[in-house]
Amino acid sequence: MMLSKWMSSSVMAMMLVSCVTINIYFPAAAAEEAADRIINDVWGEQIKLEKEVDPSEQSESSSSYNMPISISVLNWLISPAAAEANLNISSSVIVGIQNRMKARHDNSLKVYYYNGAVGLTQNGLITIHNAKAISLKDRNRVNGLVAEENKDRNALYAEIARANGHPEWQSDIQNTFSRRWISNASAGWWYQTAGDWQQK
Amino acid sequence: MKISSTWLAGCAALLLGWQCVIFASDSLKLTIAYWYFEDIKTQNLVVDLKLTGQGLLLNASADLVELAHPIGALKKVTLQCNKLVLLPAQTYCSAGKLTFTHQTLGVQKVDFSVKALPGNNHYKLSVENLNLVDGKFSIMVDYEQLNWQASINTLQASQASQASLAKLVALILPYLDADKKALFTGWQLDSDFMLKANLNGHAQQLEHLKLDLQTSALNMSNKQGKYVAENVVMDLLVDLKVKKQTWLWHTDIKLNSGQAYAEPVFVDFDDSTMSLQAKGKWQTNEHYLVISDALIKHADIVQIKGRYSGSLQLSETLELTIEQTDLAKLYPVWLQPFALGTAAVNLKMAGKAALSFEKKAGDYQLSVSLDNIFIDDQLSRFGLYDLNGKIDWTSEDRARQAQLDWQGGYLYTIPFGQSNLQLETHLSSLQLSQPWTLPILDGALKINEFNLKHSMENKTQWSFDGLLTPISMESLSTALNWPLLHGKLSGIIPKVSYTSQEVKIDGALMVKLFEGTTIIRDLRLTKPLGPLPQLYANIDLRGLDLEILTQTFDFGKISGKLDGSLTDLRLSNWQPVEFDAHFATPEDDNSRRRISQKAIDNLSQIGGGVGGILSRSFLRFFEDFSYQKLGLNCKLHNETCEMSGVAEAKQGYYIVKGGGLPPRINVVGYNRQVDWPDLIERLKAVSQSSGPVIQ
Repeated sequence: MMLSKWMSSSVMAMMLVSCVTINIYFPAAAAEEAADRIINDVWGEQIKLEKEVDPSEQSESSSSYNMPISISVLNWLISPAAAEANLNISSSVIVGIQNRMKARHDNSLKVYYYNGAVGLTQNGLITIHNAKAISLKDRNRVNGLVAEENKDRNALYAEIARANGHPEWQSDIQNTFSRRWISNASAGWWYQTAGDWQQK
Repeated sequence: MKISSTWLAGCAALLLGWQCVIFASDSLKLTIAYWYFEDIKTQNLVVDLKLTGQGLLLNASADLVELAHPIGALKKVTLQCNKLVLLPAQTYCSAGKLTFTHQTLGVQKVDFSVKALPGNNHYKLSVENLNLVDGKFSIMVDYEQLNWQASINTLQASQASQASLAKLVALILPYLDADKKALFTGWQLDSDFMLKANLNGHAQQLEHLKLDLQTSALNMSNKQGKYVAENVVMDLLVDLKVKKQTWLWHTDIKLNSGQAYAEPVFVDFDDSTMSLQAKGKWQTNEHYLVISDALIKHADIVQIKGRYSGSLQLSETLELTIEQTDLAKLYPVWLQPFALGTAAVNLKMAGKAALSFEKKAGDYQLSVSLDNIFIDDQLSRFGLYDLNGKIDWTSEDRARQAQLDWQGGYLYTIPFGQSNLQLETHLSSLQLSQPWTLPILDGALKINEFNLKHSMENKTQWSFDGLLTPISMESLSTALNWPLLHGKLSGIIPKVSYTSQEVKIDGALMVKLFEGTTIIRDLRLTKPLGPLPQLYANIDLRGLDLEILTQTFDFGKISGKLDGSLTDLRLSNWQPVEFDAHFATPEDDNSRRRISQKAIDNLSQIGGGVGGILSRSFLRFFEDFSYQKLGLNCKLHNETCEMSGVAEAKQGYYIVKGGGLPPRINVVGYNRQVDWPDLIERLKAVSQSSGPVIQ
């Protein structure tokens, strides 16, 4: 009897301890919103933000509904603000990278998304989709643009994670961005899913 | 049974006819509805022979002639021979004409002549106007006692017909084995061509091939578009001699016009022609290739000599020599494409370099000599001027001496001076053979030990230890475009290392600044030349003289000492984005502590207060005030500075706590969350303002 009491209380204690660590979960909804804001800025206004979100994304972003009861209780105990962290993307460093990406998009990359030369990868980067759509003399330049864009994208994901005090979120942020880039892409652009190319 | 009897009957009829010619008539006509002979089958064969002054005139036709594989069925066959001579020693037909229709060869109307000398086992055949792959060909074969020679030539291309290389490949493809077929799969090919080929051989063995293939618009591309040629004017000469299992070959390729792309290099032959000459041998049984002399000439850009031996997959020896080359021409075409994604992608280069590379049995040696080289990063991150020297880089154990010197250069905004490096290389690593001094501004970096290693797994790593002899802060602050600072920067550097794109400095750098000491520890720099360099450090400041500091920044005079610390400092792209800063009057400060009106005004402005309060109150009559303690803390995170002061005050915190002789004054801050960009703006405004007006 004593043993079972002791067991249950220690299990509860462990749950509480583990809850504390779970509490700093990745703010998926905020990340999506942040990603959409940056993407909208980089790709400009001709890219329409798609309001309809597919059901799988919905359940991920509103994961609080499916949280274990213990965490919900904890969320109530600790102020919700602390749990539902906001992502800051307005630092001058982030804006700096964003501006560089925007200039690259407007001046060079845009035309290559539309003609299918460049496509979106499933890990939030870009790659050459159809080299034949690029004139021979421009191929090296476009390879360079892709390399620079990917460096900036990686730097952006890392900096958002660092600036928000969670360098370990980098891959979560990258995943969020990869979904949002594809979701926000214009009709006719190419993107990868499970290694295969598809056209919007 | 049926075949042989029909054939016999046919022969008998022919012989009878022959006799008829002699005795009864000067012509013979034979009509055979079906004739089978071994693999040959004909339908409606008509043979018409006439006697003429020069010999015989033969006219033959058939609706169908079925020949053995690979030729197959010929339809609507006509054969005419104006001069047929049938003698026991020789048979020949000159000025012959043959027409037929074939499934792949189409409608053919060829001129031919045949000569047979059976006694000498000598046969000659020549065919003209053979329509093949959209072009017209002439073929000549001469066979004597098992020795043969053949020539295949395209006739001058006319507008109506140009031989197509793609169709030639399609024609040949079915006859190739799987390995060779694989070479052609996935390629798109579209080109005209002109061909002159001469072949010699014995029995079934080819002994000598001479080939000249010319294209006026070669277009080809592999599936991924990584190797592409567009409208290339090419002249390919091949000379191949076969001796048993050894092929001795010599080739000469000239690329005179058009464009080509072989990832990542693009060459426009219209601007710069290219040629390749090579000779060597190929051992067919061992699959062993020797290239004894290769020379690639790319206009006046580069000239490469090479030698090779080994299998197609694995080299045994490899030698490459690049003669002295102008880097201004070489870099954009041949170097920059390989530098994509690295810091060397945007360079402006001048000067000359030569290179030789040798690989033998797993060991290699790379020699580079540099002559008056200037390197400038277009993004102004680094540069090196008048670089000279020679480096031998080797995987062998035997050490080689290397030497480099330059007149100057820069890293970001910091210039460095003339320097000479004496090095030793072995086992794919490089060390200093003498201590090295790099002048930086008015000081120098003195390096005792330097070690650089390169391996495929760990890429490039280097480390050094040394010391920084004092650099004046005046020159450093000017170079960095900071407000003019006074003092010295110096330090002992136990170890600086670079691995996985991170520079780490063990030990501490000491800066003598504002009469105090600033110690920089745990300095770490990641991706230093990347898009977003990250610098991490912890900084301690001891005994700074506030009077000098405030004068420097024109802040309004404050006297006294100041201690401080900046922990967990992170600069992203050289801008501070995170730190925990504490500044305060030291506990044991015995100096005179006074603060001027202007300084108080500025401090309150920085704290978000309204400036000029003092100048509007009676306190304006006092020039300065004594204080007991001052201090300010800022924890910067997420663009927000969390502020606190030397002590908690009612609803706020003390930035300055008055004390000592009157008049005393307290400065209290109320804003605990200050927007960092705002704060920077205010600091800039303060340093630019002329200060409060005292009425």
